[in-house]
Amino acid sequence: MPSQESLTKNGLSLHTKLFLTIAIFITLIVLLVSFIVLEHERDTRFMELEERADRMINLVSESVAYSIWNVDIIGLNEQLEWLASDPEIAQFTITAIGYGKVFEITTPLELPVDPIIRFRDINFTDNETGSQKIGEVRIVLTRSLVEKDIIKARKFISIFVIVFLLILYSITFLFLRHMVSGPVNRLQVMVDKIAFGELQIRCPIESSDELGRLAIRFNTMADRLEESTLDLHDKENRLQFVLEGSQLGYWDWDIPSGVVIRDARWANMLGYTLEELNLTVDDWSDLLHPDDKEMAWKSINDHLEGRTKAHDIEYRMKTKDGKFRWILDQAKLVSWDEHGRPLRMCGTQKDITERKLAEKEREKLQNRLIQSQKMESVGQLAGGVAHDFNNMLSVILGYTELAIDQTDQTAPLYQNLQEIYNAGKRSADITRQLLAFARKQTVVPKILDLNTSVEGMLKMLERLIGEDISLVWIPKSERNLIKIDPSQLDQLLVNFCVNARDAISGGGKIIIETGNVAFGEKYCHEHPEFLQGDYVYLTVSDDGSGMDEEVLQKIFEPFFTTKELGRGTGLGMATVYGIIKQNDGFINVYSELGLGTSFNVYFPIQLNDSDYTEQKKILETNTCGTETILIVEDDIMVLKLAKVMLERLGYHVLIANTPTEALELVETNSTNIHLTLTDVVMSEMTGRELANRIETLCPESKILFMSGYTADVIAHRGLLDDSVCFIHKPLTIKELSIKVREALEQS
Amino acid sequence: MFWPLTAELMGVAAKNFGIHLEVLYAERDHLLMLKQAEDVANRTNQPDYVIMVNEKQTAPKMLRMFEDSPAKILLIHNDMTVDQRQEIGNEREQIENWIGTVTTDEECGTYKMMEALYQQIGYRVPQVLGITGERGTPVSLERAQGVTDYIAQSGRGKQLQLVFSNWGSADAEVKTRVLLARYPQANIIWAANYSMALGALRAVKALKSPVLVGSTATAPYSASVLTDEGLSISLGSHFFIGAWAMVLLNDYHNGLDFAENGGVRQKLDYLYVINSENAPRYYQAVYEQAHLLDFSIFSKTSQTSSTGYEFSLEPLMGNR
Repeated sequence: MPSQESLTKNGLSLHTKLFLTIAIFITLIVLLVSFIVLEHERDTRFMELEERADRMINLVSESVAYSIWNVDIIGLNEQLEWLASDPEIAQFTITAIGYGKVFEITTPLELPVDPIIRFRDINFTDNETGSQKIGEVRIVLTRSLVEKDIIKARKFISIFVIVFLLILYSITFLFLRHMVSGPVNRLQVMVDKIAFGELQIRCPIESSDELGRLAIRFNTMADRLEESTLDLHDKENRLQFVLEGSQLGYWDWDIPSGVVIRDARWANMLGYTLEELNLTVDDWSDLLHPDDKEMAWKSINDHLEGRTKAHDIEYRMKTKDGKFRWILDQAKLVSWDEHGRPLRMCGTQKDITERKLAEKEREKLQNRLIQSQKMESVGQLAGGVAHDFNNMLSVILGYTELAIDQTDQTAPLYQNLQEIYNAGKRSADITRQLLAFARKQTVVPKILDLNTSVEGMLKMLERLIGEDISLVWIPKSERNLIKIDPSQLDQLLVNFCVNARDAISGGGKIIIETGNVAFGEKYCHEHPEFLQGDYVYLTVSDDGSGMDEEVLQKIFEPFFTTKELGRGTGLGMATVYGIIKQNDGFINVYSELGLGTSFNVYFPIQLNDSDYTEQKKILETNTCGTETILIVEDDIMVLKLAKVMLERLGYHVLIANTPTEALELVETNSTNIHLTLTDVVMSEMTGRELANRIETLCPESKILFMSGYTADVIAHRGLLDDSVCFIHKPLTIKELSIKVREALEQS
Repeated sequence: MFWPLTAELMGVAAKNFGIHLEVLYAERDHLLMLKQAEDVANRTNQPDYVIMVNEKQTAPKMLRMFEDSPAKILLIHNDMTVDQRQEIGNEREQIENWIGTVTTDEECGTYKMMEALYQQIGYRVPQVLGITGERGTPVSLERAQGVTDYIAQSGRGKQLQLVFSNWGSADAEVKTRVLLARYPQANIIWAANYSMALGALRAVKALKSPVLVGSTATAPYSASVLTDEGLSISLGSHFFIGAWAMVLLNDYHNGLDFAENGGVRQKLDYLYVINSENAPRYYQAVYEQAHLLDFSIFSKTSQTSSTGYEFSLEPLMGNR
């Protein structure tokens, strides 16, 4: 049976076949007709020739009778002279009795084959003697001329027939091509287009004959094919969409042969194209992770042997680039032979690597959350204690400071006051650290140049780490402005350096480095705790003993320390963590046991340096003044302390223990109040509300808030905004003088 | 040989009458004859009489040439055809100087020839075959008519078949062979001229047939033929026609118009039957001693008879 391709390539076209059939038929008919016509013509000509011979011999025998009777030989020759030019006469003889041949025509050639021969007596009737034979005439006519004519006619007819047939063939061919192959070809083109997917194509109905009806049938077939194809296409699309939406790749395993049909998505999961994979189950098995192979086959075999309802397993498969991806493989047997042996198994695979990673990350984040919540709880506890403790320390330190100023340095009391002051300071430091960790430290963030700040601390830090450890300073950053409370930056550096020093036994090296870095979307996606933007980083590295994973997990917990009892409070790194979070920064710790540790801190870059310039200006100006300042503080001790400090700076001071009292003073005081220094959190009304009331009564008066709570807490309560001036407790004269001047100078 | 003999005898007659005779030979070339006639007609010194022959029907043209000529014209030997006469008219009518026509009476000649042949056949029933000249030539019909007349008049025998020939010997020989085969009973063959008679004679000899052969004309050597070759009868003396014309012109010139003695158209019965007996005499008189012939005996100037001219060879040959 010929193949479809060979049929397509070698087959004659329909119109050619029809043409050949008609051509052969016509040719045979024409040849037959030509033959019959020629034969008929030949017979007719021969018959005519024979009739002519008869007529001729009759005519001659009668016409020459008189001449022969008169023995008019010359006359007879003249009379029959015309016969000499007759080409059909091969021989013509007239014999006169008594004399012999009196007339003769003889062709120089031999007598023709199958000549026409006629004899006739020449008789003459005389009145006296009656009819008597006076001679004979013999005519031999040749058929060769007729044969030649027939041959000529045959040639002419042959040429005519050939020309006629050629014209007829051409017309027939063109007609058939136009009438048969034209519609058939158009039909074929339509079918080809349909075969190649152009299902909307329809064949024009050009006639009402078989081809027209065939076109109608084709169109009907195309309608149904289009309908069923669209339906099938919809179903296939739906299935593909489902597979695509589910991110599933399918496979179809012919178990006896081991051939596995897969789709492109299956291969693409592993970075392959379909052509790059063999269609065998072994190919799948080879790609399995060595640790998962046994488990995967067990799952399949369990299902093949009927121990499970489905094959449902997660395993790893090797991708083209050598990595492993997590795959969810789910399948079922769909066909068995008559003996119940499995024949075919179909299923899907899904790349669940992201899900697996997310699960891992979620687990990690969960741990972090637990850690964070733990630290938040500790911080809240510490912060709550530290706040009240801080107020007490403010009073102790303030009055101690005043007492020291009023005591002669040579008096024994002075030294005692000094010790009280120092102990209070240390207590204040501990309180600050606790507040810092709990991010409830009252901070005053400022825009500062990180490199300048670090450089200012280098000498102090060198003394702190000792002579055996070298301190390397590598300032790489070009844009160094960050916003942070300077004391917090001091705390960071001191804590990092102290930890580094303690991790280095004997000689070593600590490297402080700054620089700029930008976190993009991708990096932040991989590190959810980071936010996009431009940052200034501060890295403190050492080549000390390093930390293990367990220590790293707890390094920022308060009161966690690896140091011997009494050497550390366990608040150092917790404080660091709190400070960084309070200033919108991030921290990474990299540590290798025996090699060293590196702390990387990132702060957002401050682009506007006008505040920084202003701060520097204020710090450089005189901090004293003579303006009238109203102090509003519900803690009477703090109120009194603040009054003493401001009066010592030269200001005229009014005090109010409650907001109501303050408002009365504003209303009744004839002198202008230039500045109101008010606590933020008070029982009657907040400092913000009070400020608003005072602004109404005395629009020119400036406001300076003070609080022991962190600015975050205050802002959270809606008390302050970025434009207000703020000073945190406990108050010191130096800081108070600066903040008061800053507030008074504010436009 | 006919016309030289004719001219010779005319010369003898001219001498008899003291006529100056000039003979122009055209050798039967009719174009030359017309040229000669034109030359004569254009002569300043024209002859008194011109004798011309209607050779190839050229006589009318020649007559027209002499229409204004003072010369008198006499036509001899061949008569005008009916058509020619219708065209040009008869003697002394349209062309007034055409004074007459002199021809031979062929019928009488062949009549006499058949009479002689019948005499030779004796008691047998004459079975005659005739070979005359061309069908369209008047003389051939006249000669055949003479034969027919005699056979009818004699009441004996019959002419089995008369055939026409081309005046040639070969054709006559063929015809004779055929006719003798067709009519083995034939015992007389006649031919309308001397050549045909010789052809017929060859056939008879070849067939060894005992047939008598007669000829309506003869030749200078026919005497020997007649004796040596077996020709039975021959008509002679045709070439005397010119001499007879000289006689008529002499009489006309001398005031004796021949029209009054036989008419302007003279048909002369003068042919002489030659047989084996008289052949030597005829040969001697005509061919050997022609200059001794005296034609004046036939002139009306020397006769008082008012009847027509009776030209004959017997009086000429006399007792020779």
